[in-house]
Amino acid sequence: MGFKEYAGKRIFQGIITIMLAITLNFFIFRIMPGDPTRAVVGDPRIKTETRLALIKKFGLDKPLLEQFILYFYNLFRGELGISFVQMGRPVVEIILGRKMINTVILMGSSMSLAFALGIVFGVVAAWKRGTKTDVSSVVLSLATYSMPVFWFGMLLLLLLSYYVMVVPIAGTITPGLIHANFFEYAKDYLHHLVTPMVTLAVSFFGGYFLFMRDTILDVFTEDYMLTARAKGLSDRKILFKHAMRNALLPMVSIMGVHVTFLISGATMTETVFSWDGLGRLIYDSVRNSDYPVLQGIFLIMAVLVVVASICADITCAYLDPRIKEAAE
Amino acid sequence: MTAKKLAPSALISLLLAASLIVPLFSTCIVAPVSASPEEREELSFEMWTLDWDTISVDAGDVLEQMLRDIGIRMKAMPTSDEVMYDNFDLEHTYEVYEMSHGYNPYPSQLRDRCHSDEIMDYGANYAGYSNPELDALINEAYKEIDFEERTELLWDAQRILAEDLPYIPLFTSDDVHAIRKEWTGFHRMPGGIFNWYNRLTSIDLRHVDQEYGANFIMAYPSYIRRYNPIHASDGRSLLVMSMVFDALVSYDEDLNIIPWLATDWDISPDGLTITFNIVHNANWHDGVPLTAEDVKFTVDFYKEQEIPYDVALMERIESVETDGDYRVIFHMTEPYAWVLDDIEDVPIIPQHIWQDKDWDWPVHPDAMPIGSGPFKWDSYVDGEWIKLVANPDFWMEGKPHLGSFTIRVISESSARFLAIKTGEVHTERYELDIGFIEAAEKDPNLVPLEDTWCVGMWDYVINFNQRTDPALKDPAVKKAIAYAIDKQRLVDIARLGYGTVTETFIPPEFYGEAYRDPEAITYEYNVFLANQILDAAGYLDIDADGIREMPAPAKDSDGDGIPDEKDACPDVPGRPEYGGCPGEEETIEELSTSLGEIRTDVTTLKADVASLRSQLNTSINMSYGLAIVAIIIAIVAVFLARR
Repeated sequence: MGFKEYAGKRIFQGIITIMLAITLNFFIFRIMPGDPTRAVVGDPRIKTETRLALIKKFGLDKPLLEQFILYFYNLFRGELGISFVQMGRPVVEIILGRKMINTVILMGSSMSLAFALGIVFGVVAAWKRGTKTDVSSVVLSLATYSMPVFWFGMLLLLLLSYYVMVVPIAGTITPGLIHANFFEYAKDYLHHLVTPMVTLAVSFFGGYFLFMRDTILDVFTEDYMLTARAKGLSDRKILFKHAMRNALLPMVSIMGVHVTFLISGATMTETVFSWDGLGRLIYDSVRNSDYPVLQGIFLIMAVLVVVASICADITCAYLDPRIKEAAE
Repeated sequence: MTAKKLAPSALISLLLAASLIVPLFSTCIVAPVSASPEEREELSFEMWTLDWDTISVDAGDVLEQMLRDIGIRMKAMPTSDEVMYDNFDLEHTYEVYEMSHGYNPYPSQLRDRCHSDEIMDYGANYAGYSNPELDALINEAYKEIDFEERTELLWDAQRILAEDLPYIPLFTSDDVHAIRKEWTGFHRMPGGIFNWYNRLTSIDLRHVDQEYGANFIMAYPSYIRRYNPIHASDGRSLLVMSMVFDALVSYDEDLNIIPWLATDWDISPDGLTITFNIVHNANWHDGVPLTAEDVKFTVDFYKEQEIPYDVALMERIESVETDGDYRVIFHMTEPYAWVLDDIEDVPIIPQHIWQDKDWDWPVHPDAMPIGSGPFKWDSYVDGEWIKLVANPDFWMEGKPHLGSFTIRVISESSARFLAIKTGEVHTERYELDIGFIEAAEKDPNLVPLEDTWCVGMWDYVINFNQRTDPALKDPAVKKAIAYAIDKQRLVDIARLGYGTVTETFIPPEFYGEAYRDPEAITYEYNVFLANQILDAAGYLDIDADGIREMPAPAKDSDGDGIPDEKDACPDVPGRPEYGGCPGEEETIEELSTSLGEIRTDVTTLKADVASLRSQLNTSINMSYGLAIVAIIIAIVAVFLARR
């Protein structure tokens, strides 16, 4: 089987997966308890006539199969429906707007920071294996890794926004402020970004650090490390040119898996810091039974994961002939 | 080949298993027959509480303990609202629940919760309680425009409810707010300082040192849902909309109707014609004058588009006509007691913007919602904040005092409280979370909590489904429960004292002293009396496990094979009208004599029951043991056979 066939097969599989995701996505929300009309009205003291009118309006009185066909049909026209809660606003507009940008910036920055720190500390700890530096950084990373992120976030909030009062307590920008220019805006935004980003970076750091440290320790036992040493290379060169480069490959694939976090966001952290991103949107939508929005987010996430994994597979197949052969 | 060899042993095992199973069935068939005469159902119920509402959950736990004192097991079970409301709306299979309902500013709860018209799918009479006498009184009250006569009708209705007790009012969770002390001028009103029908606060709130122009910031737990004033129905959107849009009338601090856009009005004696004079200097935020035409347009808009809000009002309005630019006349199909209260709920909308729109069109915030209220739309960032600025051309002289009103989303409750403490925001939308009450009491930068205290609109009740368990239909059981509840203790534990005990169905603490019924039937905490009522009604603890059992079933004395109401009454010391049986009123002394007799009876009964139970238990335990052994042997047999 050639490369093209492999790619075609992979894409076909991807389409099937997305179809399955759509179907599952549709029925999951119909099985869940809870009356969506109450979500539309937002008041449990809803009058009967109001409820019946809304059920009709949203087509919830139609048979399930008919609803499903309508849903599918609308999807192909790029319509994800209208939010129950933010009445009249299309789901696409809610998801693919500010909230998505906020989440991508928050998750992107905190993951990159954790990634960079994880690599540096991981290499150093592995190099100094068994010393105090190693032990203390392992203990520290285990502590941050197992710490509940919302708890740490609240501590940070209490410290930096209440006792010291150096960062704002909530939001992504100062409310009511008209910014003179883009730089003013960026400055304000970054000021708000500090605490949630640090919180998330700390929570991600432990995992990256431990993984990097273990991989490096593995690499140290390889024959080519012995060769490098025998050639009389300096420690620095051995560590960074030989060990780290090889250890980075598995790290990159881990990062690839974590890319989905970019979209799904960190619900807890975004809620603690009132960061207006997709994670908090998921939280709010679950609380208010906003099914169309949840369906939309899950759909976009599913498509993203499938597309990302197809891209990764195809790229790998292109780069590494062994994968192609294995497929045959 | 091995299968053949082992087959006989497998067969033997199977036979053995079968021989063990046979006696199991025989005990099953025999045991209940011998035990049934004395096996009665216990007074044991599941009581749902709302899992995310700590007040409901805490009060439920305390209630469970209290009712244990009178031999009723009321198992408090925290349940999610999806499950609860699905059950209330369609399945109707719950037994008891305890949670808050919520008052309107006028007493609509009798009709909503207890009228038989509301017994239907999605109806608000969850308990399925029906009483024609009550229905008639409520119907009459809804048509009675004279306040005093109406109130008397409602007193009668409440006395019926107090006898039947489809639900027991417990307490309201009161509204105490954390407000920074540099703010003043707010109005305390039942329902809270910041509430959509508290328009007075929005115009009078001001900074202590700055009479005009101060900027007020309020924290919201989440963003508003709607920019459309008609379709806004959640507390967050409604507050914003009540500042941007006006209604014809509003409420004062005692929930009396006061003039708003309407300067005065006249209701004809038959209640069929209502004439409003409206202010002359009102303008929409875009400068267009507000006239009687806009009022007429609003009502016509509701009626033509069959808007599913305020239906009770709209279906009673026959037509609206204008008389000049500043007078509008409502013609009603029938007199309606709450006509002004319902009109308070209708936002007057500008004809020149809404005339070609659907009622639920998504008002886009970029295009600015145009109203006539004290505040104008200024700017917003979706999901984060909204800024309203004072309307300089507001028709009321010298109002509002604030320069701007900003709403800021802070999702997490402790972050909200910290933001108030640092002064980043000045208050929050809803009442103080119970966890922060102590900290707020100590904080010198906040208005003392007592000065923000309003009777809350969230009324907690314990509600009994009339369909599931016959004991829950029996007023005696519910009266005993009512006597056994120490409501003040519930308030002290569930709301740290910031609550108001409600004794009646229209509590004067919320609706005003005019509603106080001098002859109201109330139930003062009295465990002794509660126990006596249950004893007298035949609910006795015959198996001495601390939980009472149902009364002895009626005897089939007329020999038709069915023990029912037609038969002679059961051998239970009489309580009036037990199970449809006539009884005689007994005084407390008589009650206690008969109580003594019951106690003797019970002791002998207990002995009988105890021996019967032990017999039954042994046979049941044996059957279970045999069943387990049989199953194990069967499994082994099948396993061997397959090898």
